[in-house]
Amino acid sequence: MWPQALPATNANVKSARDWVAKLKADGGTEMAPALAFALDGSETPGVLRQVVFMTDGGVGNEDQLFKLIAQRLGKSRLFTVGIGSAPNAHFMTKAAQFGRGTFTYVGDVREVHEKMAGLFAKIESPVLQDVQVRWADGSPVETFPERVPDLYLGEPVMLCAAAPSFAGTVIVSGTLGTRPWSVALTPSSSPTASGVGALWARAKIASLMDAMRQGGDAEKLRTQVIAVALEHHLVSPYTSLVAVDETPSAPAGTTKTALVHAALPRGSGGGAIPQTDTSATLQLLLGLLALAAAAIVALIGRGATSPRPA
Amino acid sequence: MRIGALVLAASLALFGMTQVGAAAWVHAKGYVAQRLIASAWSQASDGRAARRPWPWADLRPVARLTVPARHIDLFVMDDASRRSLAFGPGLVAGTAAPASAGNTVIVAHRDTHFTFLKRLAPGDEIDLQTAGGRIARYRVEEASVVDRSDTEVMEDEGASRLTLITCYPFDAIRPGTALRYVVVAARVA
Repeated sequence: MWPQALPATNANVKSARDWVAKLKADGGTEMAPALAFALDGSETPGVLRQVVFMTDGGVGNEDQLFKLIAQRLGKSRLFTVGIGSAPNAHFMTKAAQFGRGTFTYVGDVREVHEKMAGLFAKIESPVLQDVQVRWADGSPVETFPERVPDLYLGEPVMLCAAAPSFAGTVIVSGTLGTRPWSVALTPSSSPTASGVGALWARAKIASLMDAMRQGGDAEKLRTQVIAVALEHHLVSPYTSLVAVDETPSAPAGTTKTALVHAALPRGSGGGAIPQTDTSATLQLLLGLLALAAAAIVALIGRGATSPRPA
Repeated sequence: MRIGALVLAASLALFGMTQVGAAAWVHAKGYVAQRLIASAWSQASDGRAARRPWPWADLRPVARLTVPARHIDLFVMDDASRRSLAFGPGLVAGTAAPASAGNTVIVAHRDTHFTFLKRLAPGDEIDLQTAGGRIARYRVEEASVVDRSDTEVMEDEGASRLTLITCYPFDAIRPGTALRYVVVAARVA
């Protein structure tokens, strides 16, 4: 259609609609050329470049595509939309995260209008870009996500951080339209919530796995993932939860092995007592009726053709 | 005789004979299969595992059910599928083995092997002999009519009992009834 973005004038929009109307969908889905074409690193000053990637196809070469997005994103934002059950939710979510956008899932064609209206309402009103958080004492604080996503109308900024203390003021800054903007916030000392640690640890594991996916030192990252997962009792690609039954068992020597019949689960049994009748009676009756009818027909037939006595 | 009447009489006669033949086949199969199983059983009682009653059979006899007072002598198979029931009574899978603790459930056709259920009365004694030669004696406690979905009658409540089930009513003409006639007998020896 066009090699670069154009202003959304009526003529351009109409031309784009006509072009889309002529599209015929068939065959497979080539994600990489489309992403490479859209993410060309170009930027227009004062305008946020937002790319919407929509597919109903399966995605296989995830890692290659993640690399492509990370390398070519530039100042653009990538929003992913998956339609139906085929798209790989993990890929679509991660791609949107690498692309600093969001993932929209449309499970049913009937939801397309509603979901897309929501997405467009959102991307039409980016409030704050290049969001950064500066911590009170300037000390390095590990936060997840590492790069705070853009802030859209009606959404909160959410991040997890681990630090010895959160006393003092936090400065959140960003770009509002074209002007710099910042606000100083004083965290309220909320009571210790038990789930927060796990939330942070999960985000950290995800971030370490992302680093590995992008070619980090696998052995070193693996050790780190295991350390975090063990500390917070989380399931990760390298750790599992194991349940140990502590029910006391019989002392050795007092047990006996016997065969026991496996009882049917209550209410099962195929849902019904087996059918135990045959059609023999019905067939016998039908057969005898038919034979009787045959005899009657034969008798009447003979009566009709026999010569009448004179 | 006109040709039309002749054809009609011939087709009616042919249809009648196939139907009577099919009905006879049901009874013949039930009778002959029991005789073949009896022969397989006598070998099994010698201590060997029960062999197949006929070369292509996919079922084996697991018990011999006798009601001395009513001259009933039947061989129970290890399968209660519709196909197997044509050959004899079947032990419902998942219920207790014959002569063992629990509820042993045996089903059979109302118009062949289990026609005698309607004549069983409380107090009648039923013997169940296993392939190993063990004999368990049960005494009829009650008979009732339930819906086919009332599978509680097949459940195991711990006590040793024998549950015989067939379709009800016994003299129904059309197959496919939703009712079952259930005879419950408690183990007495």
